[in-house]
Amino acid sequence: MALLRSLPENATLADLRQTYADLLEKLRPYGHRLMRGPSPLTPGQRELIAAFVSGVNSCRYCHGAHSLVARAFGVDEAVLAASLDDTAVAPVDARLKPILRFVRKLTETPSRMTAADAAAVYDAGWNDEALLHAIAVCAYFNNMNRLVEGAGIVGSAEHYAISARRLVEHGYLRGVAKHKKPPASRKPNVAPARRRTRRQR
Amino acid sequence: MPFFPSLPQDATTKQVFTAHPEIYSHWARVSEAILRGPSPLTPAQRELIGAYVSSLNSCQYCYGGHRAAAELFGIAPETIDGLIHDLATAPVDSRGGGSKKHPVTRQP
Repeated sequence: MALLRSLPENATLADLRQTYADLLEKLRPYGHRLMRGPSPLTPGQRELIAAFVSGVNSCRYCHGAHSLVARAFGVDEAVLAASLDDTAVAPVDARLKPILRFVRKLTETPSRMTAADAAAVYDAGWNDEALLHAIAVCAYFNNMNRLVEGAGIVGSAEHYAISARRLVEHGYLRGVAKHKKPPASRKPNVAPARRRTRRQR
Repeated sequence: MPFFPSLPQDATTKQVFTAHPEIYSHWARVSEAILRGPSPLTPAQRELIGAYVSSLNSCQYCYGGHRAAAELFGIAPETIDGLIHDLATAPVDSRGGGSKKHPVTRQP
């Protein structure tokens, strides 16, 4: 339930953005550039980090929406779930594991990062530009998770699917038209809660 | 010392932002709006939140910078010290000392 009294009881992120547009619209160009602009990380890798960090923070809204976005970019939901559960044994690209470990630690204990944490990322073949991009995605989603949780936004599977569809089709620049449901099954790959078997790698 | 081999050993956030415009070219507008734009909170109150949250995260760099900014905006050093020592008994305006800032940083 929304904690901000100016929001409806079952508020979504779109409601928050509309109510506090002056402040929150400024985030769009930043988010779009970060998540879809030039980067050593693919949009799918960035969305995986976004969903992963949101999962570490147990932010249902962001985790729900960005899991679907990551899936649309080819990241299997089971791989994401397994990475959150135990990154070491998860069937995720081995090069991504040190990045996921880094952003988990940065989320949970930000002041305890060490040169060894960074070295593990470099040893996997990434340069420091890639690490900075991963850090910036991690930081952005820690910010969004706190905006959402601080405002008391929970959402539902339907909301996550609407957000995800907008993020897949338009990126971070455009808002969701209020109370307008997207046409059913236009993008079946971002429909909510469809389980898949784990992809063999 | 920064973990990035491409940055000097005494790098600050300014060097990171300047070296990576592909990420940070829009960031100044975001932080300007949040910390200096129209708000029911004064810039001093917002800098105090910035310093307090940074202390909860044990981020020395942000804490140091935003504590100094809060002091320049007129927040007394003992107010900040008191907050970090114990939010409940700190000599801070009780409207600003509620329970909101703490949970959303440690248990979002």
